[in-house]
Amino acid sequence: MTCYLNKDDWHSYYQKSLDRQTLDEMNSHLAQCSECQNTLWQIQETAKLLAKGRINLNPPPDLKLNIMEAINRSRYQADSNKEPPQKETASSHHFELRNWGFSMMAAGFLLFALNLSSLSPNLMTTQVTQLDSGFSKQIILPFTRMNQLAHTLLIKIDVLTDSQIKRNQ
Amino acid sequence: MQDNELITGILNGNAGLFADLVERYQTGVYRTAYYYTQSVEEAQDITQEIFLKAFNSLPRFKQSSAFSTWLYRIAVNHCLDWSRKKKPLFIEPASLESRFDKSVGPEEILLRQESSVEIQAAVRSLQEIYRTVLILYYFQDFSPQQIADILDTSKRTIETRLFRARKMLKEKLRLSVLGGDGHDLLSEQG
Repeated sequence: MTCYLNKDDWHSYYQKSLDRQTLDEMNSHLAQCSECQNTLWQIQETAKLLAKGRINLNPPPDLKLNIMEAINRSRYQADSNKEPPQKETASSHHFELRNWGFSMMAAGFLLFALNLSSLSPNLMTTQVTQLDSGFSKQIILPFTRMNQLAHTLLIKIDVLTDSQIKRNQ
Repeated sequence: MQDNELITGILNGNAGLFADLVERYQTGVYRTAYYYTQSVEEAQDITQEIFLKAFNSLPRFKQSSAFSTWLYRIAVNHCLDWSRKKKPLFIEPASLESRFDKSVGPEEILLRQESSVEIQAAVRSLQEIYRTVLILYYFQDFSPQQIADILDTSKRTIETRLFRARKMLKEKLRLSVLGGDGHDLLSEQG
């Protein structure tokens, strides 16, 4: 006799992991089907036999601690691996600052060149040079004042130095 | 706290909550690892690796399935990878002594040890797809549907594998176990 019932549920039936309605239907069927009774009996006997192979082994008490330590180490390593990009960011910041420095120096040289061109006698004859000269005079004004100040300071230093020498003599 | 709440907390930066998940599942994962490795030390190492892998993969966990299903999928795959690389050690019966109930007599303990070792050896000798369903169904009490979810296959496939695994086990035990008890126990009724 071949049973009409689907045999794909008997392991679930044995564990009672089916819905109530399916379990009731299978219960009713089981009462009158020797083939399905035999299938279920085989599952029960296998479970009994394999129960002898079951081991109620408990994890060691420090397992959780070891796992969490391993996780923390892994996170620390992951963070350490992220450091090179941070260093790269810092170095790129320095690189940017250096570029700014170069730009400032270039601007300084440009101003210096403009001042030199305004002093050049060959260019004094053209109008462009006159405009340039007028513009340069405005730019050179603070430098002239600084130069005067420096000159005054140097004179004062010379006077002080001379008086010091005389005292020593 | 439910698994999903813990996972949300962990993903939001509170990694310490993972300890609660470890507490909840460490016994099951550890036993699964032991059934594959037959070694307490290897089971410890593998359990640690499984949880570490789960923690690192947590951002990729889609909470549409249960965390336990996802975790056991990692565990089974990890154990199978281990099995392919390494042969399980022979298990000395004496090393099992401490794992049995001390309330029974020494003869009973000895009998149980022998049965346990031979049954585990028989299970271990099966192909990995059959070994896995036997471990998860008979030793770890997962339902066929849960096993199907863990192994990402159909429930019908699991039921079929369980029937086939039983037949293979019967053949193995008929040849070796318990002076013929294995054959008798697994024979058909009537």
